[in-house]
Amino acid sequence: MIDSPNILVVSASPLVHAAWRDALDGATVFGPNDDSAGLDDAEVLVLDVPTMSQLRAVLRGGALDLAPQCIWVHADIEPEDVVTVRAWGVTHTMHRSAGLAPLLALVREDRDHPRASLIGRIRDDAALDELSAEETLLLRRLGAGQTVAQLRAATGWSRHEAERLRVSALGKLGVHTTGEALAILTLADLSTA
Amino acid sequence: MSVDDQLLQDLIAVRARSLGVRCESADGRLTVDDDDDDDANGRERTTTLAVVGTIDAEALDLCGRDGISAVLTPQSPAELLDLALAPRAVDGLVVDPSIAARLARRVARAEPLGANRGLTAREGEILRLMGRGLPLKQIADRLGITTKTVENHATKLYAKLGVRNRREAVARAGAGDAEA
Repeated sequence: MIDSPNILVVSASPLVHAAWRDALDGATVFGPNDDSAGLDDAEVLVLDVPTMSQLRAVLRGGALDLAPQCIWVHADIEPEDVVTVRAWGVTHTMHRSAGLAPLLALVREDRDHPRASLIGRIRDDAALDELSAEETLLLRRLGAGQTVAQLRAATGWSRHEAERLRVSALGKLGVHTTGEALAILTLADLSTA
Repeated sequence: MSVDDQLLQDLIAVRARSLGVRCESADGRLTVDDDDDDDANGRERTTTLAVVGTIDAEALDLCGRDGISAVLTPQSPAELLDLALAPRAVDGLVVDPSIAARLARRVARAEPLGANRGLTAREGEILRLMGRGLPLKQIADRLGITTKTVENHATKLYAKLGVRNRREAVARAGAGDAEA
Protein backbone atom coordinates (compact mmCIF):
# COMPACT_ATOMS: atom_id res chain seq x y z
CA MET A 1 0.00 0.00 0.00
CA ILE A 2 1.34 3.41 -0.95
CA ASP A 3 0.64 6.16 1.59
CA SER A 4 -0.28 9.47 -0.07
CA PRO A 5 1.50 8.61 -3.29
CA ASN A 6 2.62 11.29 -5.71
CA ILE A 7 -0.02 10.81 -8.41
CA LEU A 8 0.17 12.35 -11.87
CA VAL A 9 -2.67 12.13 -14.37
CA VAL A 10 -2.48 12.81 -18.09
CA SER A 11 -6.02 13.30 -19.37
CA ALA A 12 -7.09 13.98 -22.94
CA SER A 13 -10.41 15.38 -21.69
CA PRO A 14 -10.11 18.90 -20.21
CA LEU A 15 -13.73 18.55 -19.09
CA VAL A 16 -12.68 16.23 -16.27
CA HIS A 17 -9.31 17.66 -15.25
CA ALA A 18 -10.74 19.11 -12.03
CA ALA A 19 -12.72 15.90 -11.48
CA TRP A 20 -9.52 13.86 -11.66
CA ARG A 21 -8.02 16.04 -8.92
CA ASP A 22 -11.13 15.45 -6.79
CA ALA A 23 -11.17 11.71 -7.44
CA LEU A 24 -7.47 11.20 -6.73
CA ASP A 25 -7.16 13.61 -3.81
CA GLY A 26 -5.08 16.41 -5.20
CA ALA A 27 -3.35 14.58 -8.01
CA THR A 28 -1.48 16.73 -10.52
CA VAL A 29 -3.25 16.72 -13.89
CA PHE A 30 -1.72 17.43 -17.29
CA GLY A 31 -3.14 17.60 -20.79
CA PRO A 32 -1.53 15.29 -23.34
CA ASN A 33 0.09 18.25 -25.11
CA ASP A 34 1.47 19.84 -21.94
CA ASP A 35 5.12 19.57 -21.07
CA SER A 36 5.36 16.10 -19.57
CA ALA A 37 8.59 16.75 -17.69
CA GLY A 38 8.23 15.15 -14.29
CA LEU A 39 6.15 12.18 -15.38
CA ASP A 40 8.97 9.89 -14.35
CA ASP A 41 8.97 11.36 -10.81
CA ALA A 42 5.46 10.09 -10.09
CA GLU A 43 4.80 7.10 -7.87
CA VAL A 44 1.52 6.48 -9.69
CA LEU A 45 0.94 7.65 -13.25
CA VAL A 46 -2.56 7.52 -14.77
CA LEU A 47 -2.70 7.94 -18.55
CA ASP A 48 -6.27 8.78 -19.56
CA VAL A 49 -5.57 8.97 -23.29
CA PRO A 50 -7.87 6.91 -25.50
CA THR A 51 -5.67 5.85 -28.38
CA MET A 52 -2.37 4.13 -28.89
CA SER A 53 -1.05 7.03 -30.98
CA GLN A 54 -1.83 9.50 -28.17
CA LEU A 55 -0.14 7.21 -25.68
CA ARG A 56 2.89 6.95 -27.94
CA ALA A 57 3.09 10.75 -28.11
CA VAL A 58 2.83 11.18 -24.34
CA LEU A 59 5.43 8.52 -23.65
CA ARG A 60 7.59 9.72 -26.55
CA GLY A 61 7.57 6.24 -27.98
CA GLY A 62 8.58 4.64 -24.72
CA ALA A 63 11.59 6.84 -24.03
CA LEU A 64 10.49 7.72 -20.48
CA ASP A 65 11.45 5.95 -17.28
CA LEU A 66 7.95 5.48 -15.90
CA ALA A 67 6.48 5.33 -12.41
CA PRO A 68 6.32 2.02 -10.51
CA GLN A 69 2.60 2.03 -11.26
CA CYS A 70 1.60 3.29 -14.69
CA ILE A 71 -2.05 2.74 -15.57
CA TRP A 72 -3.20 3.26 -19.16
CA VAL A 73 -6.93 3.99 -19.36
CA HIS A 74 -7.76 3.34 -22.99
CA ALA A 75 -10.75 3.33 -25.32
CA ASP A 76 -9.73 0.20 -27.13
CA ILE A 77 -6.76 -2.09 -27.27
CA GLU A 78 -5.34 -4.57 -29.72
CA PRO A 79 -3.56 -7.69 -28.50
CA GLU A 80 -0.27 -6.55 -29.99
CA ASP A 81 -0.65 -3.12 -28.32
CA VAL A 82 -0.68 -4.57 -24.83
CA VAL A 83 2.65 -6.25 -25.43
CA THR A 84 4.10 -2.99 -26.75
CA VAL A 85 2.89 -0.84 -23.85
CA ARG A 86 4.22 -3.36 -21.36
CA ALA A 87 7.60 -2.97 -22.99
CA TRP A 88 7.24 0.80 -22.54
CA GLY A 89 6.73 0.35 -18.79
CA VAL A 90 2.94 0.52 -18.56
CA THR A 91 2.08 -1.79 -15.66
CA HIS A 92 -1.72 -1.85 -15.97
CA THR A 93 -4.28 -1.26 -18.68
CA MET A 94 -7.96 -0.59 -18.16
CA HIS A 95 -10.85 0.12 -20.52
CA ARG A 96 -12.75 3.40 -19.97
CA SER A 97 -16.03 1.53 -19.76
CA ALA A 98 -14.83 -0.08 -16.51
CA GLY A 99 -15.33 3.24 -14.74
CA LEU A 100 -13.51 4.79 -11.81
CA ALA A 101 -13.81 2.08 -9.13
CA PRO A 102 -11.23 -0.39 -10.50
CA LEU A 103 -8.82 2.46 -11.18
CA LEU A 104 -9.05 3.65 -7.58
CA ALA A 105 -8.54 0.05 -6.49
CA LEU A 106 -5.36 -0.11 -8.56
CA VAL A 107 -4.06 3.13 -7.09
CA ARG A 108 -4.63 1.55 -3.68
CA GLU A 109 -2.89 -1.56 -5.04
CA ASP A 110 -6.02 -3.59 -4.39
CA ARG A 111 -5.37 -6.17 -7.08
CA ASP A 112 -8.31 -8.29 -5.91
CA HIS A 113 -10.87 -5.85 -7.29
CA PRO A 114 -12.98 -7.81 -9.81
CA ARG A 115 -12.14 -5.35 -12.58
CA ALA A 116 -8.53 -4.75 -11.63
CA SER A 117 -6.61 -4.38 -14.78
CA LEU A 118 -5.32 -6.52 -17.55
CA ILE A 119 -1.54 -6.56 -17.24
CA GLY A 120 -1.54 -6.45 -13.45
CA ARG A 121 -3.81 -9.46 -13.23
CA ILE A 122 -2.23 -11.67 -15.82
CA ARG A 123 0.91 -12.29 -13.78
CA ASP A 124 -0.83 -14.74 -11.48
CA ASP A 125 -4.09 -15.03 -13.33
CA ALA A 126 -6.00 -18.27 -13.15
CA ALA A 127 -8.96 -16.85 -15.07
CA LEU A 128 -7.90 -18.54 -18.29
CA ASP A 129 -8.39 -21.91 -16.60
CA GLU A 130 -12.00 -20.96 -15.93
CA LEU A 131 -12.82 -20.71 -19.62
CA SER A 132 -14.73 -23.61 -21.09
CA ALA A 133 -13.30 -25.44 -24.08
CA GLU A 134 -15.80 -23.70 -26.36
CA GLU A 135 -14.96 -20.24 -24.98
CA THR A 136 -11.25 -20.89 -25.41
CA LEU A 137 -11.84 -22.14 -28.94
CA LEU A 138 -13.81 -19.00 -29.79
CA LEU A 139 -11.10 -16.67 -28.50
CA ARG A 140 -8.32 -18.65 -30.14
CA ARG A 141 -10.07 -18.59 -33.51
CA LEU A 142 -10.83 -14.85 -33.25
CA GLY A 143 -7.24 -14.24 -32.19
CA ALA A 144 -6.08 -16.10 -35.29
CA GLY A 145 -8.01 -13.61 -37.39
CA GLN A 146 -11.08 -15.70 -38.13
CA THR A 147 -14.31 -13.75 -38.51
CA VAL A 148 -17.41 -14.60 -36.50
CA ALA A 149 -19.08 -15.79 -39.71
CA GLN A 150 -16.18 -18.13 -40.45
CA LEU A 151 -16.21 -19.33 -36.87
CA ARG A 152 -19.92 -20.08 -37.04
CA ALA A 153 -19.51 -21.94 -40.31
CA ALA A 154 -16.74 -24.07 -38.80
CA THR A 155 -18.48 -24.84 -35.52
CA GLY A 156 -22.15 -24.80 -36.42
CA TRP A 157 -22.86 -22.27 -33.64
CA SER A 158 -25.78 -19.93 -34.06
CA ARG A 159 -25.14 -16.19 -33.93
CA HIS A 160 -26.78 -16.14 -30.50
CA GLU A 161 -24.61 -19.01 -29.23
CA ALA A 162 -21.41 -17.37 -30.47
CA GLU A 163 -22.32 -14.10 -28.79
CA ARG A 164 -23.27 -15.88 -25.56
CA LEU A 165 -19.88 -17.61 -25.48
CA ARG A 166 -18.07 -14.34 -26.21
CA VAL A 167 -19.87 -12.46 -23.42
CA SER A 168 -19.33 -15.35 -21.00
CA ALA A 169 -15.60 -15.43 -21.78
CA LEU A 170 -15.25 -11.67 -21.28
CA GLY A 171 -17.06 -11.95 -17.94
CA LYS A 172 -14.78 -14.72 -16.70
CA LEU A 173 -11.69 -12.76 -17.71
CA GLY A 174 -13.06 -9.58 -16.16
CA VAL A 175 -12.65 -7.50 -19.31
CA HIS A 176 -15.00 -5.44 -21.45
CA THR A 177 -13.81 -5.97 -25.00
CA THR A 178 -12.77 -8.87 -27.19
CA GLY A 179 -9.48 -7.06 -27.80
CA GLU A 180 -8.69 -7.13 -24.08
CA ALA A 181 -9.54 -10.84 -23.88
CA LEU A 182 -7.27 -11.58 -26.82
CA ALA A 183 -4.55 -9.51 -25.18
CA ILE A 184 -4.77 -11.73 -22.08
CA LEU A 185 -4.34 -14.80 -24.27
CA THR A 186 -1.39 -13.18 -26.03
CA LEU A 187 0.32 -12.31 -22.78
CA ALA A 188 -0.33 -15.78 -21.36
CA ASP A 189 1.20 -17.34 -24.47
CA LEU A 190 4.22 -15.07 -24.15
CA SER A 191 4.75 -15.88 -20.48
CA THR A 192 4.61 -19.62 -21.08
CA ALA A 193 6.67 -19.57 -24.26
CA MET B 1 -26.16 10.94 -28.65
CA SER B 2 -24.40 11.03 -25.33
CA VAL B 3 -21.00 9.55 -24.74
CA ASP B 4 -21.31 6.02 -23.38
CA ASP B 5 -18.25 6.27 -21.22
CA GLN B 6 -18.41 5.01 -17.66
CA LEU B 7 -15.17 6.65 -16.54
CA LEU B 8 -16.25 10.06 -17.82
CA GLN B 9 -19.61 9.77 -16.10
CA ASP B 10 -18.00 8.59 -12.84
CA LEU B 11 -15.59 11.52 -12.87
CA ILE B 12 -18.36 14.02 -13.50
CA ALA B 13 -20.32 12.48 -10.64
CA VAL B 14 -17.27 12.91 -8.38
CA ARG B 15 -16.98 16.54 -9.45
CA ALA B 16 -20.70 17.06 -8.82
CA ARG B 17 -20.40 15.71 -5.28
CA SER B 18 -17.49 18.03 -4.57
CA LEU B 19 -19.68 20.94 -5.68
CA GLY B 20 -22.52 19.81 -3.43
CA VAL B 21 -24.96 18.42 -5.95
CA ARG B 22 -26.14 14.88 -6.48
CA CYS B 23 -25.53 13.34 -9.82
CA GLU B 24 -26.88 10.06 -11.16
CA SER B 25 -26.12 8.35 -14.41
CA ALA B 26 -28.89 7.03 -16.62
CA ASP B 27 -28.92 6.16 -20.29
CA GLY B 28 -25.54 7.71 -20.85
CA ARG B 29 -26.57 11.07 -19.43
CA LEU B 30 -26.13 12.55 -16.00
CA THR B 31 -29.12 13.72 -14.01
CA VAL B 32 -28.25 16.42 -11.53
CA ASP B 33 -30.38 16.98 -8.45
CA ASP B 34 -30.02 20.20 -6.54
CA ASP B 35 -31.59 19.99 -3.09
CA ASP B 36 -32.33 23.72 -3.06
CA ASP B 37 -33.71 23.84 -6.55
CA ASP B 38 -37.40 23.15 -6.00
CA ASP B 39 -40.18 24.44 -8.18
CA ALA B 40 -43.05 26.63 -6.99
CA ASN B 41 -44.92 23.58 -5.70
CA GLY B 42 -41.98 22.35 -3.67
CA ARG B 43 -41.26 19.49 -6.03
CA GLU B 44 -37.65 18.73 -6.70
CA ARG B 45 -36.48 19.73 -10.15
CA THR B 46 -33.86 17.75 -11.99
CA THR B 47 -31.74 18.73 -14.92
CA THR B 48 -29.88 16.56 -17.37
CA LEU B 49 -26.31 17.06 -18.46
CA ALA B 50 -25.36 15.52 -21.81
CA VAL B 51 -21.79 14.89 -22.96
CA VAL B 52 -21.67 14.17 -26.69
CA GLY B 53 -18.86 12.46 -28.54
CA THR B 54 -19.55 14.06 -31.90
CA ILE B 55 -21.26 17.31 -32.78
CA ASP B 56 -23.91 16.12 -35.19
CA ALA B 57 -27.54 17.03 -35.85
CA GLU B 58 -28.63 14.86 -32.94
CA ALA B 59 -26.31 16.73 -30.59
CA LEU B 60 -27.71 20.06 -31.80
CA ASP B 61 -31.26 18.78 -31.28
CA LEU B 62 -30.38 17.96 -27.66
CA CYS B 63 -29.92 21.68 -27.02
CA GLY B 64 -33.62 22.24 -27.65
CA ARG B 65 -34.94 19.41 -25.51
CA ASP B 66 -36.85 20.13 -22.33
CA GLY B 67 -34.90 19.24 -19.18
CA ILE B 68 -31.46 19.44 -20.78
CA SER B 69 -29.29 21.88 -18.83
CA ALA B 70 -25.97 21.45 -20.57
CA VAL B 71 -24.54 19.92 -23.73
CA LEU B 72 -20.78 19.48 -23.55
CA THR B 73 -18.03 17.44 -25.20
CA PRO B 74 -15.03 15.70 -23.62
CA GLN B 75 -12.96 18.55 -25.09
CA SER B 76 -14.99 21.22 -23.26
CA PRO B 77 -13.12 23.24 -20.62
CA ALA B 78 -13.54 22.11 -17.01
CA GLU B 79 -14.99 25.51 -16.14
CA LEU B 80 -18.06 24.73 -18.25
CA LEU B 81 -18.70 21.56 -16.29
CA ASP B 82 -18.56 23.50 -13.02
CA LEU B 83 -20.90 26.10 -14.51
CA ALA B 84 -23.32 23.37 -15.55
CA LEU B 85 -23.21 21.72 -12.13
CA ALA B 86 -23.34 24.85 -10.01
CA PRO B 87 -26.78 25.13 -8.40
CA ARG B 88 -28.85 27.75 -10.20
CA ALA B 89 -25.72 29.53 -11.38
CA VAL B 90 -27.07 29.82 -14.88
CA ASP B 91 -30.67 30.18 -15.91
CA GLY B 92 -30.58 28.53 -19.28
CA LEU B 93 -28.41 26.19 -21.24
CA VAL B 94 -24.66 25.66 -20.92
CA VAL B 95 -23.21 24.57 -24.26
CA ASP B 96 -19.69 24.03 -25.50
CA PRO B 97 -18.55 26.92 -27.74
CA SER B 98 -18.10 24.59 -30.70
CA ILE B 99 -21.72 23.44 -30.34
CA ALA B 100 -22.92 27.02 -29.90
CA ALA B 101 -21.20 28.00 -33.14
CA ARG B 102 -22.96 25.21 -35.01
CA LEU B 103 -26.26 26.20 -33.45
CA ALA B 104 -25.76 29.81 -34.50
CA ARG B 105 -25.08 28.76 -38.07
CA ARG B 106 -28.17 26.56 -38.05
CA VAL B 107 -30.32 29.45 -36.83
CA ALA B 108 -28.82 31.85 -39.37
CA ARG B 109 -29.55 29.47 -42.22
CA ALA B 110 -32.90 28.33 -40.95
CA GLU B 111 -36.09 29.01 -42.78
CA PRO B 112 -39.47 28.36 -41.21
CA LEU B 113 -39.95 24.65 -40.87
CA GLY B 114 -41.96 23.34 -43.76
CA ALA B 115 -41.39 26.41 -45.89
CA ASN B 116 -41.32 25.58 -49.59
CA ARG B 117 -43.03 22.32 -48.77
CA GLY B 118 -46.53 23.71 -48.74
CA LEU B 119 -47.05 23.44 -44.99
CA THR B 120 -49.37 25.87 -43.28
CA ALA B 121 -48.05 27.95 -40.40
CA ARG B 122 -49.85 25.66 -37.92
CA GLU B 123 -48.40 22.53 -39.50
CA GLY B 124 -44.95 24.11 -39.41
CA GLU B 125 -45.40 24.93 -35.72
CA ILE B 126 -46.45 21.36 -34.95
CA LEU B 127 -43.45 20.04 -36.87
CA ARG B 128 -41.17 22.32 -34.87
CA LEU B 129 -42.58 21.02 -31.58
CA MET B 130 -42.26 17.43 -32.83
CA GLY B 131 -38.61 18.20 -33.48
CA ARG B 132 -38.22 19.11 -29.82
CA GLY B 133 -39.46 15.67 -28.85
CA LEU B 134 -42.81 16.71 -27.43
CA PRO B 135 -45.59 14.10 -27.49
CA LEU B 136 -48.84 15.00 -29.25
CA LYS B 137 -50.64 15.68 -25.96
CA GLN B 138 -48.05 18.27 -24.92
CA ILE B 139 -48.10 19.84 -28.38
CA ALA B 140 -51.89 20.15 -28.09
CA ASP B 141 -51.54 21.76 -24.66
CA ARG B 142 -48.94 24.23 -25.93
CA LEU B 143 -51.07 25.28 -28.88
CA GLY B 144 -54.36 25.25 -26.98
CA ILE B 145 -55.99 22.74 -29.31
CA THR B 146 -57.15 19.14 -28.90
CA THR B 147 -54.94 16.13 -29.44
CA LYS B 148 -57.29 15.02 -32.21
CA THR B 149 -56.70 18.31 -34.06
CA VAL B 150 -52.95 17.87 -33.70
CA GLU B 151 -53.30 14.37 -35.15
CA ASN B 152 -55.23 15.78 -38.12
CA HIS B 153 -52.53 18.40 -38.76
CA ALA B 154 -49.86 15.72 -38.39
CA THR B 155 -51.53 13.47 -40.95
CA LYS B 156 -51.67 16.32 -43.47
CA LEU B 157 -48.07 17.42 -42.91
CA TYR B 158 -46.84 13.80 -43.23
CA ALA B 159 -48.60 13.61 -46.61
CA LYS B 160 -47.10 16.93 -47.77
CA LEU B 161 -43.61 15.85 -46.75
CA GLY B 162 -44.08 12.37 -48.18
CA VAL B 163 -43.22 10.62 -44.91
CA ARG B 164 -44.88 7.96 -42.78
CA ASN B 165 -44.28 9.12 -39.21
CA ARG B 166 -43.01 11.93 -37.00
CA ARG B 167 -39.46 10.63 -36.91
CA GLU B 168 -39.24 10.76 -40.68
CA ALA B 169 -40.97 14.15 -40.73
CA VAL B 170 -38.47 15.66 -38.28
CA ALA B 171 -35.56 14.09 -40.16
CA ARG B 172 -36.88 15.42 -43.48
CA ALA B 173 -37.36 18.91 -42.07
CA GLY B 174 -33.92 18.89 -40.48
CA ALA B 175 -32.06 17.45 -43.48
CA GLY B 176 -28.89 19.39 -44.12
CA ASP B 177 -28.41 20.49 -40.53
CA ALA B 178 -25.65 17.93 -39.98
CA GLU B 179 -23.60 19.60 -42.68
CA ALA B 180 -24.31 23.10 -41.42
